[in-house]
Amino acid sequence: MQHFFYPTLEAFLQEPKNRKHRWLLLIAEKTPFDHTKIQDAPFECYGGIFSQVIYDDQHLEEGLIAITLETTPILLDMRDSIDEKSFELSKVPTMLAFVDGLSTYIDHFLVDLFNNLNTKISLIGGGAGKLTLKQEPILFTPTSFTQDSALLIPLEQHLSMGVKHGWDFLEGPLVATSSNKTALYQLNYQDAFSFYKKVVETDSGRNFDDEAFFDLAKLYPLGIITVSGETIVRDPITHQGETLILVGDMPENSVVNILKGDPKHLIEAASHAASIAYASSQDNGCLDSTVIMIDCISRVLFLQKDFVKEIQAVQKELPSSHIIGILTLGEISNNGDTYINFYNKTCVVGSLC
Amino acid sequence: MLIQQLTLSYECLNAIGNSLLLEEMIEEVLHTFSRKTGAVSASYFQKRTPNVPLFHSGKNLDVAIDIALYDPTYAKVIKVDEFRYILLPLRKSYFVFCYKNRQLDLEFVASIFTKFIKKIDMAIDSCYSVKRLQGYHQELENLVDEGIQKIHENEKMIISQSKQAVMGEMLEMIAHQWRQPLTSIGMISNTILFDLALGENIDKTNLYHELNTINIQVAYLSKIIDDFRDFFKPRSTPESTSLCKIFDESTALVNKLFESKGIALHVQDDTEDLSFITFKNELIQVLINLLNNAKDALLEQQKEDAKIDIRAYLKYGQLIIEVEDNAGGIDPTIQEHIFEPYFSTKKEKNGTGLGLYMSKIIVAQHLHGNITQKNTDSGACFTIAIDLQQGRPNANYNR
Repeated sequence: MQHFFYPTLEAFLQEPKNRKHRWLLLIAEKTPFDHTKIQDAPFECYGGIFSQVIYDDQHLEEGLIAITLETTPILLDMRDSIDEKSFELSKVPTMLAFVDGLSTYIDHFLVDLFNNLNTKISLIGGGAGKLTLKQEPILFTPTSFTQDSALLIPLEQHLSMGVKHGWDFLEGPLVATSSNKTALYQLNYQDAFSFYKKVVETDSGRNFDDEAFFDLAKLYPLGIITVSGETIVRDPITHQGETLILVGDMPENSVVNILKGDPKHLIEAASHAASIAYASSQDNGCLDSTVIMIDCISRVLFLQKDFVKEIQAVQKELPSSHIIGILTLGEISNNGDTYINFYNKTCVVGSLC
Repeated sequence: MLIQQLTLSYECLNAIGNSLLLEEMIEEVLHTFSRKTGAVSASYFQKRTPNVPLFHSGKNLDVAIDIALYDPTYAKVIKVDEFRYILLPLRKSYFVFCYKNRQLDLEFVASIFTKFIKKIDMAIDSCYSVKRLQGYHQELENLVDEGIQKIHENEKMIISQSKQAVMGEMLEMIAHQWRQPLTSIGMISNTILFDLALGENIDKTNLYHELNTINIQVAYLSKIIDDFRDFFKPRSTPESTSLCKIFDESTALVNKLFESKGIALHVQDDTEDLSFITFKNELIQVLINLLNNAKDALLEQQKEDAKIDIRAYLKYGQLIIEVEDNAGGIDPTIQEHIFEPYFSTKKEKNGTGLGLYMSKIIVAQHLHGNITQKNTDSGACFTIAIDLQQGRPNANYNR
């Protein structure tokens, strides 16, 4: 697996040596993108548009990472059930999975995907989409440029992963007493936004009336409590009246906490995720690996210029490897041994070997 | 107990019994229990068919445990190869959850599941009860449908019989209508034949006049045929008409017969020439039926001053038509039965007992009104009330 960074799509397309390969393109949202150029290219390109890309110790709003592919990716409509024939390739040990991060069909799709994959496959990926938070075509193949879709890339390499978020407990436990998909209507039988607003404004000393919702909400995600002790973070991206709209589903009757961030703990969590991935890859006898970092864009918005420290913390744990990555709207990680979770505000580090 | 374990109890408990449809209810339990505990697959079996899952969620893995070897009364953890299973026994069925994750304390999860056994059994019983009730409900619906079908078939038969009866009455009316012009034509032709037989010179002008008279009478006979044919012509949509026209056509059909029987017919229309949209022929059929019934009653009573009054007026947005005779009224002991099918006081006189029944159906179903009867000082009075504000035939009306 080879990977390169290009400042523009044109620079990538004009490179003669690229004609020999099939490519996965991870494109930062401010990179000018015209799908007709992908259609017209004399070689196959698959990929998606993400808020930012990570290349070594930088996170960039413009530019693209091009990765050579040995297999052919599959583009699926998340609204449909998965056709078993699409899963001939699920026999591979690893799969990259990119979904439309603003689709309301993510949870339904991930359940269907889990049911159709073998129990030994490892999965890593995240939600494509721009920081405008407006849903639009975001994933592409040489012939399609679509929304509400998922791009699956089978890989022959073995994957070792670490997943951590680092968000701290603020208030809870609370019960999501009324919800549907990504809409949270009630917390503890009270209107969700009013309840959330009261807790957040009390802790922050700031007021939702004085600033854009997400500027304050990005500091206070919700965390779904699971029996394994893992907390699945949910990012409130906006509100419609009393309804909080999240990235990812909130099943009704979920028990949740309201969380808050401490920059130090977030960076430590990323470092911890990297160390878990590294240790696992060493256990598997891996000597040289490609490191994929899937990190939530809202961690960039929270850490701001300190986000570089998070990348460096990951790099420090994986000294001999190059880092490629994306900043996403939701993160995916799964070892085939339990349902595929769609995380928010989380750092997923994968070591491909 | 840790918050995570309390959470698991709460979330799983809330997934039980949320639907009264067995498939929906079980699927929610399978999905929630396996998702909350990290099971890779979950299946629901009935004890009588232990090898075939009735419902399934998650990956399609064969359950690698022989259920027959276990008969627990509580949720039990079983380890086979790389997988661990929780067998959750119920009264007549059981769940099997399959786990690959080795970190989870399945003994604890199983102890939580054990607490749900009674509740799940009750929820399953409720689903089966509802299913049985739905079966009964369906049976009842089928019976009602069959009953309605029979009623419709009976109505069709009654309508057919009623039409035959009406045909008989109509033939009598036609006979009366035709008698006078036929007599007139016969007299003229006899006179001409008689003159020819006597060898008298026939005045050409006179002959022309006589033949012209015959033509007029023939045209009149033809018009009678047209009137009756028009009356029998079925119409699927209502037509714009006037009450005056309806009364004219109704009385034209019966007046000769009534004249011959010495029955006076009075019409009083206080609706100021009401125009409206209705099934004209159906309303005429009802009026003629009421008039014929009144005629029969008057002939039976042998009234010397026999008369029938037709009155029409508007009241509270309704068109009211009253048909009243002076034949003494209907016996109060049979009054409540007169609109029932096959009920007749004229059995000896070939009464079918369908006239008033059909009139009631026509007024209710075609004219969106109702018909009632009361006895007055002089006789029986039938009242037809048609709502001019509602119902298809009366959607538009103009004065």
